[in-house]
Amino acid sequence: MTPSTPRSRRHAEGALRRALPGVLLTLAAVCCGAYALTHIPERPQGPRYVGAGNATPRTGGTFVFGAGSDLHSLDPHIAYDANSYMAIRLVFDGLLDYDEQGQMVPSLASAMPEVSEDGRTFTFHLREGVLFHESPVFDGPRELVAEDVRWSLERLLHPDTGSPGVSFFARLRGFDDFRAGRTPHIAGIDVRGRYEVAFTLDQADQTFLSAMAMVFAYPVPHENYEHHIAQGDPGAVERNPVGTGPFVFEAWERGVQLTFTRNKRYWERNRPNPDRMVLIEQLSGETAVGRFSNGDLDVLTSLPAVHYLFFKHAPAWAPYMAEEPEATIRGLCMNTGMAPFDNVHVRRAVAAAIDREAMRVMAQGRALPAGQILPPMIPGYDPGLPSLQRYDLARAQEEMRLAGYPNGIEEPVTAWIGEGQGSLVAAQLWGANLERIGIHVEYRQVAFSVYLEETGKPGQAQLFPSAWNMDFPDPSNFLEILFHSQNIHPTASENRSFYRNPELDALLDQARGEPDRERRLALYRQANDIVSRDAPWAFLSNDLGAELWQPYVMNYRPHPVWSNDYRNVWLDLPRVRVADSTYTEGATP
Amino acid sequence: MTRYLVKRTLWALFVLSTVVSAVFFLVHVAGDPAAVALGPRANADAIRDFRRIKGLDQPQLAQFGSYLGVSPCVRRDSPDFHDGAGYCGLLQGSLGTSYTHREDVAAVIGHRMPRTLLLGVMAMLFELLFGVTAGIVAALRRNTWADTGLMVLTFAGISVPTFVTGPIALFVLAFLLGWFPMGGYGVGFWEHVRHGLLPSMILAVGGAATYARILRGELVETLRMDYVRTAHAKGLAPRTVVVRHALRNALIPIVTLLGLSLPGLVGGAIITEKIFNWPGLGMLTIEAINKLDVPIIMATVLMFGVLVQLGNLLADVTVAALDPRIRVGERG
Amino acid sequence: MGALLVSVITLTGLLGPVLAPHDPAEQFREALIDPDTGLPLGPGEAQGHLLGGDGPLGRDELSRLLHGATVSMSVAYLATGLALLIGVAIGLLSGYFQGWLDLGAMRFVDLVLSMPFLLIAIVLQKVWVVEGTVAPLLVLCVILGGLSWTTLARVTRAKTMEARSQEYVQAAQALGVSHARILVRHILPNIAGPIIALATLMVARMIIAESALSFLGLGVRPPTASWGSMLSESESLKIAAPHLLLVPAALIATAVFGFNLFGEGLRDAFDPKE
Repeated sequence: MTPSTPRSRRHAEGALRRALPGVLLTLAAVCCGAYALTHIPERPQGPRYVGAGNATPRTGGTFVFGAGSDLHSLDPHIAYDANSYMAIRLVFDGLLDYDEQGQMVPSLASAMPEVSEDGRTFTFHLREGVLFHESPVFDGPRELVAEDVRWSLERLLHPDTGSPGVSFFARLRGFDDFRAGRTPHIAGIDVRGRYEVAFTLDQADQTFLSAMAMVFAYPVPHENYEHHIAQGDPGAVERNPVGTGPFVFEAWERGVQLTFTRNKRYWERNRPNPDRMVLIEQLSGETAVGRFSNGDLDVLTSLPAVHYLFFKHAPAWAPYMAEEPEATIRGLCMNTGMAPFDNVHVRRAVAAAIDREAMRVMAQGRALPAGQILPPMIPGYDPGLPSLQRYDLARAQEEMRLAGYPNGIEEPVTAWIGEGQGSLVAAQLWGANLERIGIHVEYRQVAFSVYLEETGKPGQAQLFPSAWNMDFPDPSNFLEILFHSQNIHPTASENRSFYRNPELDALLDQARGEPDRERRLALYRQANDIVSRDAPWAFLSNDLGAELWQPYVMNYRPHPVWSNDYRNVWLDLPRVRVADSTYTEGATP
Repeated sequence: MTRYLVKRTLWALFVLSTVVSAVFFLVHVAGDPAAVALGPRANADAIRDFRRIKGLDQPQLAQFGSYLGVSPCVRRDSPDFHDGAGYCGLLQGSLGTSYTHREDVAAVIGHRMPRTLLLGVMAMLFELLFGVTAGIVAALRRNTWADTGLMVLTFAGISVPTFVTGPIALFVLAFLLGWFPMGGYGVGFWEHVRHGLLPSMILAVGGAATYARILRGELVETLRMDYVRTAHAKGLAPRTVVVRHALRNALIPIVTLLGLSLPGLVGGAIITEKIFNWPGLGMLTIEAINKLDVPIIMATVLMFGVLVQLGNLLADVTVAALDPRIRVGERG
Repeated sequence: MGALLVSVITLTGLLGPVLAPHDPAEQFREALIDPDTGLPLGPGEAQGHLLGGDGPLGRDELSRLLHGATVSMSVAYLATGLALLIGVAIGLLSGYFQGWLDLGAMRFVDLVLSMPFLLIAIVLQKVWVVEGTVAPLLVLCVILGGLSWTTLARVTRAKTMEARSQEYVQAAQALGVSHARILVRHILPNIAGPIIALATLMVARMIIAESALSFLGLGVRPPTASWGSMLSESESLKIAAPHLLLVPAALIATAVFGFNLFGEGLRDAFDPKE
């Protein structure tokens, strides 16, 4: 039964003889591989192509850009993510838009709306002669009229649409009746003529215009929806957008790319634009960098750490690189309804214990230290805030003593971390910081889905990293959404720190209706101070966005409100291949 | 034989339905699909709307019944939803609407399937090309350094997983040397093929190594057989003997394995697709799981299950057809 | 050769924590992070840290590799152990008693094989880890072991059936020896060889599976390191610090290689064909 000893030894010897060269070969291969990797050819230090040098803007060419993941929807009522907005903003226009300084300006509206004395009625006049894109859903040329604005908004707010943008318009008169199906129309929308529409609110609301400038409020033609419903596939409208924008949707190969062509009938005449736009999906990291370096991609927006450092230190790229702070706040959210974070001193201790400079270093400088909820470009931001949170270990220890934990907290605190390598690495950094003031952190890494669900329930997650990116540049979009007690629900709370402060609620309610800008901002500064001092979050950093574009891409700068907005780009073609793209220090093409 | 087939099919159906129901209830344990589909910015209003439209506000059992199509439709976005009278489930041939892609699941899979199949077919070709060549060379040059070297290489091929070889190959061959595209899918058939070269080669490493080892073993054994010796004795050139006689026999297990490897290729493609940004079924599965896109998860599970069951069935039937002993056993 | 590799790797796993010069979770940001770039220093660039830092947190790479060996090895061994336990038990019983028990068991194997492994792994991870009642490492072992015992069960069953018809078993049965005693005393020792060989090959597969799960972010919890998680953590740094990717990759490959070699050797040794 059992093999005899001599045979097994012979076998073992045979195996040894057979395997030895193999192992040596493998080791040699590994060594060769390692050697090859450490002796890689020098990488080109600058752009491979430059522009032709046209002085005047010109039309034509194909502009290629990428999105880090898939696009979800091209329906302005449904889409609620930066990637989808990249495409939607090419195809559609809003009544209002933001200029390159981030100021609100009229777009499809012929002027900024008239606001009534009491601040509750907004009257818009539409630009005349604006045509929707050519489409088989129309009988002929189709002009945008005030009725389209009403129809679009009512579809947006209809419960069967399932739009994530409903709550921004909740102060429209008749909103609740319409949502409950008691009225066929929204009482607060009044079409007063072919080009005139007025909106009436129940309460004065200074954020209403910001809401009207959101993508949710972009007018859409009802024929497109009716056409697809008649075809028995109502969802198809999300893949076949028809708008008024500078580019006409051409095709979408799902998961691969979208193409757009220049709108020759665009209302803004003689606009220099590329003839075609190509948006590549699922393009990120090294793939994007590789294509950009080869000249196959015209802009580069997501930069892995190492490549960021490379481009930052390549002088030939400097004129084509922009680093701008983004309207994002990252922090550590503490559940104020759960021990030990129901104690304000513990929260303050946490806010003071985290070394934001170390986080900045870890992110190659792309995490700007922050100490308040509002990012620098948002009105109400106050660099001299009295209660500004900052790293101060002595103060943190003092707060721990005041909290009654001079020797630290015995029970470990559970930190919920959503999926993603980056957040976890950062978590281990602040975790080590908290260890120093006697708070022991245990990590519970969960799927993003679980993270979202559990952190939205009161009494569930003690501590978790959180971030907020603005919907529109207004302080209410940060303070009210994240800290007003009306946003606490049994599930899916927006106020995930479950912070309740009647004083803050009153301030925020007052500020939302306050028509005087200076007085309004003063109220928000006060609210900002309260939130920093009570520390439901430890505010940690604002993102520094880094973008690059090819030298032949003209008229592009990162937009202060929209990320990756390529509506105004033109191409300086034909592009010229740089003979030797390995530049010497300081030389520019 | 017919009775056997019927029995096997019934069993396969039972397995499938068990898997489907298990996954359906498991998925709902993993989180709230509404919160995930709408993302971190969604407010309570939007989540309530979404749950109502997708029927997620209904009891689990009602949802499952509706998904199967044995109880009335609960999804308000379905064209078959008529005030509790219509049916919109599996039995009616509907896989539902994807939460994140916002498109009919069958259509979503219809986009993705050809991509994964292309990758699978290319990988299979590479497996055969490399595997068979290496196997023949090793068998002919048995116990020389070429044989040893090849066998060690194949051993390494089996031992090194794709998530090790993939990123390294992408980095060295595509990023540094520029021989291949940096992942992605391209536009147009030949572009797809070009983009698929590197991922399919990586995907093929394990299979090629396995085939080479099996083929070598089979060939070595066949070459010892009498009829091959006879052919030799007749004075036929060794190469002719190998190709004409030995190879034909030795290839049988390879062909069987190939047939069985299809579900494996589809499943194994998950990691490869992720590494190379190949927008196929594997990527779809990962995304669906991450985003709790229940209709897509269910569809991929169903599809994978069908593939596995079909594979098993085919294997059993083939073996039964090839091997007379089994047929006798079956009768008894 | 395979045996040598296996023993070296297993020893590393056992002794890793003893050999490690530092705590694998301790952050040496001052010593191991370049303040200008935020990147870790490489091998030989920092005193007292032989292999430099592991990434932006500045932990000691060598210590993490050694501790990672312990984690990877213990997960692989434990998972294999679990699979052995389930697989051999089911295989023995169904092969010995046959009849409806056998039918049921083999159908069950079929069912487990049809389960989408990745999905189940993810869901189980989520449920258990979210509940927080079970140690994550244990969850990993249970998932890996609990879903991969099927091959073992099939082989054990086949071998048991073979053994059952042998004279010594029939003799024992005739003597009235209890079933349990026959199974444990007579059959198991005689079929142990191929099972051990298969289990060795399985350890190799478990190393791969653990790394794959960790690579997809479903493996060990931080700050614990395993070779797979180190591989995925260093992916983004591979250009600046390729060694962070290559070393764990080479270790995984070597370990799998070793176990495969050893397993094949065992199989050939136990296979009476040659």
